[in-house]
Amino acid sequence: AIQSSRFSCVGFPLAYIFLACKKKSMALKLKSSDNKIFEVEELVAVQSETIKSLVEDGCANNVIPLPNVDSKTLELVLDWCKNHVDVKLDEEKLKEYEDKFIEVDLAVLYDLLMAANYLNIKDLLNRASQKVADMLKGKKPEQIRETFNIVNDFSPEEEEEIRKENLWAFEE
Amino acid sequence: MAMTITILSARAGSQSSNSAENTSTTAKAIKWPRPLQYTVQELGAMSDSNQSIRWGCLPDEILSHIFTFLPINSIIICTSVSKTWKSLIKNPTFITTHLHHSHNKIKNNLLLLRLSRIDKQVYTLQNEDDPDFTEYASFDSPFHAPAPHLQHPHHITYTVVGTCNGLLFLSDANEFFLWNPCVRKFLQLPSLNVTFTFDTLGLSHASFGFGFYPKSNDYKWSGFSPCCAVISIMESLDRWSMFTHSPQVNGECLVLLLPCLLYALYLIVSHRHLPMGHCIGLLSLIIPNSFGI
Repeated sequence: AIQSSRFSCVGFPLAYIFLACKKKSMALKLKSSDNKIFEVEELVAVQSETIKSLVEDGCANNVIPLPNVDSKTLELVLDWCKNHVDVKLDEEKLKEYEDKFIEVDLAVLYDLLMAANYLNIKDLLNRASQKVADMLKGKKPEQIRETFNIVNDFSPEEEEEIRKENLWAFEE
Repeated sequence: MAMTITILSARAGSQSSNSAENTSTTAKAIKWPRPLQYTVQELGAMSDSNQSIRWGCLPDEILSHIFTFLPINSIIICTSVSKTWKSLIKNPTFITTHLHHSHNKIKNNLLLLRLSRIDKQVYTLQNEDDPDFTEYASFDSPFHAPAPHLQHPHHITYTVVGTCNGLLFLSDANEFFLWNPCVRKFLQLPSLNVTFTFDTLGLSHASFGFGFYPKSNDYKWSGFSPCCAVISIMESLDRWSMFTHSPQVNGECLVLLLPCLLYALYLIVSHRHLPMGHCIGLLSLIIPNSFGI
């Protein structure tokens, strides 16, 4: 019993110091496409698998350039990451946050999708994709083209053929 | 029977999902340096408030990912939006991913029922774990149109031989159909050149099996006729291959083909006077050559 208590006495402060060191020293610097520097905790940044693998490979000592993400988008993305460090905290609150977060216009949604894909942040990519999917649901092809500005490269005959083949889906 | 089928199809789903995950990780490994190549173009798009360029040039992988969140009818509508969208959706990898996604979403087991109404057959999927046994989906049988060669077309009943990944294999021992009720499409398969015996009640003792074969990432179906001990396996959509096999069982036994073709054919041996589902033995039959390895 004496042995074990001595162990815990020594063990506790050591672990504490170790944790403290780890938390303090790990701030990463991210550079957006428009050359703004964002200083973030490692725990926040490594939710991006892309950044995580850079950290693991020891390439994160200097500033990490993110040439595909502008500062406006990066700020949003980092806000998402900060709120997802500990997902077990409060599920309801988190869902509320996510729903509010994703209420953005199409241009921002596009940037978020691109950034989430590039930085490889799965939950953000899923939430943004879900949002786009919700916008596609229940729309007619021409409405989809109008919303997302997509050029129709089918001939009228080709389009009619697809419609005929799957009449049930177009009628419901 | 249906319970076994649900479990089997779920297992087949997880098999295919593993391979899908594998491919996605390899894709990610090579993805990292790629965006740098279109940096300039992408940056231009990002600072541009005009949306016309934006959504048109969304990378295929993101588009496919978005499509996995859509229900099947919306996906079909999306195939008529543009040629790019159509080819992305018809891609086999996307189909597998979407299937895996649906498997994850539907957590509970679904029980398939066939209901015969006056003029047609209806198939319904019921939530098995739900105490109220609510209906999940229902599909009209595509086979209710009167067949010209039959006097009483509404009497044709197709037995569900097996279900796998949302596909149904239906048969009345003479005709075989592969049916995907979710997209309302079916495929008639060539008939089999084997005479099946019918007992006094007009029931065929032939049994059929249907399953997903992960090794070739393909579906296989097979038939077994106990009287002539012929097993037939469908290799491709137009060809049955046959071989003879005589299980060492006496005449009082019924040999049924288990609808599972994962790595081998399984034959269940049951006794003629035992109620359905009581099996007295399991013979497995491994056919390496005819499975197109």
